[in-house]
Amino acid sequence: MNSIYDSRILNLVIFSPLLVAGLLAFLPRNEKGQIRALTLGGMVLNLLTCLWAYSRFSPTSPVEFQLEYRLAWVDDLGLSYHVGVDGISMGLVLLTGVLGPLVVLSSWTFVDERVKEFHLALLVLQTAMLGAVCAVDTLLFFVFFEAMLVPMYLLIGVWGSEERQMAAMKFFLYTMVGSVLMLVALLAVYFLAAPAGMRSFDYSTLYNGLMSANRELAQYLKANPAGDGAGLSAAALALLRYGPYLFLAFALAFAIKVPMFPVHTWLPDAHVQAPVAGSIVLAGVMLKMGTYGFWRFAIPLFPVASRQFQLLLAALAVVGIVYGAFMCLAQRDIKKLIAYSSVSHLGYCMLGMLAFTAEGATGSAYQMLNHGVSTSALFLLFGFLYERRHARLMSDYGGIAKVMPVFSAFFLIVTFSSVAVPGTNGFVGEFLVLLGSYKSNLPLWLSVAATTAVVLGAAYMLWMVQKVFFGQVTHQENLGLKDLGPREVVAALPFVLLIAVMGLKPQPLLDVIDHSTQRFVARAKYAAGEGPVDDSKVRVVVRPLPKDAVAQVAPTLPPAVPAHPTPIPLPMRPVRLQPAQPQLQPATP
Amino acid sequence: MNIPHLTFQDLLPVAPAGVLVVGAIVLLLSEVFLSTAQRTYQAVIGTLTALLAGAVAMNNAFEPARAALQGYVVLDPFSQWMTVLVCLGTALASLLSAGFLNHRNAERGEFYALILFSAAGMSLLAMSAEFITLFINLEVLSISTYALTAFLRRGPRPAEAGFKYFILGAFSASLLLYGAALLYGATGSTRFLDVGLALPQAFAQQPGLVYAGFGLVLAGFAFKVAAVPFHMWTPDVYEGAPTPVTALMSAGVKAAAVVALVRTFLFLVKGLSPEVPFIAFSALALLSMVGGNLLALPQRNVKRMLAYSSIAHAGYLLLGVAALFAPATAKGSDAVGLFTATPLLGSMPNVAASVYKGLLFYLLGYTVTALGAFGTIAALERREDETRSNTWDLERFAGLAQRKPGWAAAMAAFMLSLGGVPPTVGFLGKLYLFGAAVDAGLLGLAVAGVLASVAGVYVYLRVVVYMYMRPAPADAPAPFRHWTTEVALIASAVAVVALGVLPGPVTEWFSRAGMVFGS
Amino acid sequence: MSHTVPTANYLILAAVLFCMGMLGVLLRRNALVVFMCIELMLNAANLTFLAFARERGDSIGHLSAFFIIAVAAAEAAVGLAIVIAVFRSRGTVNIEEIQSMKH
Repeated sequence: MNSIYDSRILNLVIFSPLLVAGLLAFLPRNEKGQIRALTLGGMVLNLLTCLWAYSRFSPTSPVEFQLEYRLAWVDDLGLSYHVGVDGISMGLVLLTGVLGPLVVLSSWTFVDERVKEFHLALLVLQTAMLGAVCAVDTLLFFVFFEAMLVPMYLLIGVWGSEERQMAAMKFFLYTMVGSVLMLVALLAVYFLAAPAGMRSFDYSTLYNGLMSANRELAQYLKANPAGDGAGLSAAALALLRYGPYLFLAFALAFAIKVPMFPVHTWLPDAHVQAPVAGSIVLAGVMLKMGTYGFWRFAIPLFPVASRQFQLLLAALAVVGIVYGAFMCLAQRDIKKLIAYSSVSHLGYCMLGMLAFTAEGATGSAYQMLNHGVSTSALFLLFGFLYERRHARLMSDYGGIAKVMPVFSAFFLIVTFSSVAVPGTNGFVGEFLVLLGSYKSNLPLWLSVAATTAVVLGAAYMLWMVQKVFFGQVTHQENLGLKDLGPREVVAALPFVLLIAVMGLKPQPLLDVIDHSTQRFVARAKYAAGEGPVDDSKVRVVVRPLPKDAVAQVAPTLPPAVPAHPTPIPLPMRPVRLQPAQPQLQPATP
Repeated sequence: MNIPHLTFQDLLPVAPAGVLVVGAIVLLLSEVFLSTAQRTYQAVIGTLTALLAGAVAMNNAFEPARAALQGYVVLDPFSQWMTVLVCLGTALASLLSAGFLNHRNAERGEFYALILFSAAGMSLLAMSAEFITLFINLEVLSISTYALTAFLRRGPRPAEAGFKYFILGAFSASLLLYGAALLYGATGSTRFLDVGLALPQAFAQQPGLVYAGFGLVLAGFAFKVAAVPFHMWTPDVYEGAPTPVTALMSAGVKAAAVVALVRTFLFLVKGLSPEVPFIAFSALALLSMVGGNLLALPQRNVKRMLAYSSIAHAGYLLLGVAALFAPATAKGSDAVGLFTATPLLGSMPNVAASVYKGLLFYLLGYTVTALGAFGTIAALERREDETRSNTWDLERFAGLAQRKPGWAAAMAAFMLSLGGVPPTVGFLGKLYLFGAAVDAGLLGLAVAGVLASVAGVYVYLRVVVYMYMRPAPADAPAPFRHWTTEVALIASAVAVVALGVLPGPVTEWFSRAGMVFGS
Repeated sequence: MSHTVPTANYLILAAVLFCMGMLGVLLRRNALVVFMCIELMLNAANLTFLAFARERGDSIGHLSAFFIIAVAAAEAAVGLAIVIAVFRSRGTVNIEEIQSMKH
């Protein structure tokens, strides 16, 4: 069924938090209760719109980007406000939507200073994150990607702990270095993908424009691996010469965000210093922007170059997995331990993606969602503990299970999910990733190393749980700790439910991401010249820019796939006039 | 000898400057006839005059490009849009000055008249197509600015800043003039059009003379644009001048100088080996982008920091200029270097239209951002601390977010825009300029530029850190309240965000700037 | 025309004046001397214009010189006013002592 609202749902999804932020701006700053309630209401409303979008999303539809909406934005750059969701972005939208209200609940009593600004930052951040995952226009993605930085920077820098300013600055600058280089690469792609007058930052224009050049290059490289590119078309030649650099620029930006070893060093600082809400959002959604960026942009746009760097990146991913695990074993600070476990878990995500196999990609996408759930839950729960004790070291705790049984039960379940115990969501993801990497062309030792690290993962998490929760209560202060209150249970319960549902009944969610996984693998393989993949399976089909400013209702079925990508209506190019002759001729001496 | 016959069409391009001059004369007369204690109306007259002149220029901007006044000036969208930007900056600067001068009991009609004269000079400079016209307009602009800089002459800093600005301004004008004299000798004319026509032959006969002229004119302009290594006057002058004047200098003077530079060199490069101007502009761009941002790093004085930032922004503008002069045939098209143009698709695309649009859009963004940023600084200045050395220290901004959330949010928007973070106008401006540079194949230079801009982001974020993450000192002064200042700051802040999110018709208008006379 | 001074001599004189002026601006410490050096540079440009105009026999160079003289006078007026303002606030015209702002 098609509804006239379909093309507008995503606008609601993206901008409802911003609207609420607009309302919030009018509340007096002392009304802390009202501010919190309004934000919570806004986040719940946002979640409802996300669920509405999910209900309108058809996993089986052959349309890649559904619920599409497109509006001319900056004509002369071919920039449009173009949003739509495919499977993986739908999953991330849901994840972001679910985390929204929980973040507010988690900070209900934790944040008591500058409450208004805090909630404004949360709402703006929510809009930026949802915008980034829904954007189909690359520059729109970039704008949201960067716009995320400012509220997050403030969250860490204003409401964080002692070293917050350094951590916030580090976070901002690391991301900025990567993203400005990506911007230059993006501009290069923009000029490569289409001739003057046809240019656009739209994902379809960029991908379709580079598709044939990539294919041509792949076949050429198969025939002569060390060729200098003689006889290639101009675009393929440019990809041969600059493709690796462009890919590396994209990869660096996203690798910093993931974060992959060795550019992960901002993450432990940011996590340790950030307030609970900041940690949850950072771990839950923002790190996914890195993996999502690889998935959506870096790999499909540069399939040949990503093949060339496959081994390097996969090796870095495995190094990250193992290094993260060992760092966890060495930590005494619980928040730092969870942060390093993120490095390790996201290594699995990257490994699965770089396997370029169906299982690996599915596992990788699933692992993105899992990590979002389980690591956020860990930060949330630890946040409750931290609020009571204001201590981050493991040695400050011990025997907490006796004092806070409900809390301990929650924490244990989340830990199981994090160490991928069968029956939890973590298991499904990690299993698929490892399966995919064994099946891929990656060397066996990488997969073996990654598998061994699973054991390490169990070791450090259980070691931490044992030190914190079991044994005797070693500190007098811990005896008086109160167990979770109703608000905290409400905040933690959804995580546990999600862990169970995603672990025991993964199929519905796997179905949602199925099509985008297939497309991802097909795109990676198509241009690498492996196997006969039909053009039409990889080509990005999107709606053209509407002639009038108002977008029409999205079609449920794709329009008959055109032989050539639909050119986007051209903006008017300025006509260069010949300069008029001056009235006077040059004086002759 | 034929007597020149002037028509209405000839006077059209200079009409905005005419409006500005009439407004300035009215202001001077108002000082004679209507001197009252309350002089805010003078700022209003100044603002309205600037807006009227801007409207006239905007009307002109849709005219086709042509020469006027016998080829001594040109009427083209590029210069007319630049005039619109200058008028916008002038209007905002007049508004900012009202509060600033009122607080110091120094409101005088001459001040606003000088601002308008200076704006008229900027407008005429951008459309000059002859060396003597260029020189005269440069001096109209400069002399008014010298006087404005030293306006609060009793303070030690303004006089010193005015003196330094005068010495280096006159020095650079002399360089330019001597270069013009040499080129006149080589080509027999001072009109750009004739100079351009005669240059190839002159270059063949007397290459030394032409190169010397080229270099001297370039150095003269580089001083005005404040490009490294001709930047040494900038920090002192920017720091010492009354803050609204600094704002006008950083936005308007730079804009006019960049436009005049482009116009002059469109003609002056004819006959020269294409690598020479390209490498010259690339080197200036690189040095300014890197130098400006790095020199800003250790500054704790926000006004001085913004002075260095303005040098860096001159560098970004020069990056666009370098793209404009990128040689059509690239040597060794594989090698990506700092001073090589290696177009991605092998052949050099025509980037002129996007460079002009980028320059204008960047200048628009920089105008509103710089006016806003300096305006905020001006509002935090106290009259009492004119002699103190820490007047503009970062500490001034500590805790501003709690004391004055609106001001802090506006300043944060200005800082992010200077750093080129979306969704502000600064980002879109950088996108246009760097886009043109990448299109022309200046990959190395573009990468150097964006990396330098990260250093800039650090500098700007430090202001945000102080505003949002440091507690306010006990004796922190509240910004003085004056409705004109608030109007100006609100207008700038709204423009910074609104133009960044929805540039609307502006980019389409600026697309017409592709019609540059002589290109 | 054989009795007249060749153009090159004027040009060399102008170039020497210009270089003297330039070096003076960069090296001298007395504000008034610096000021005069700038006048020297402007007049070197004037001389160049006139020398070329004489050689070519056209009027552009002559016209330019008139304009330059007028503008230079206006500039000098403002410049001297500023020097006086500096002298009043500092009691000196030595450039090395007019350095209150940090670098």
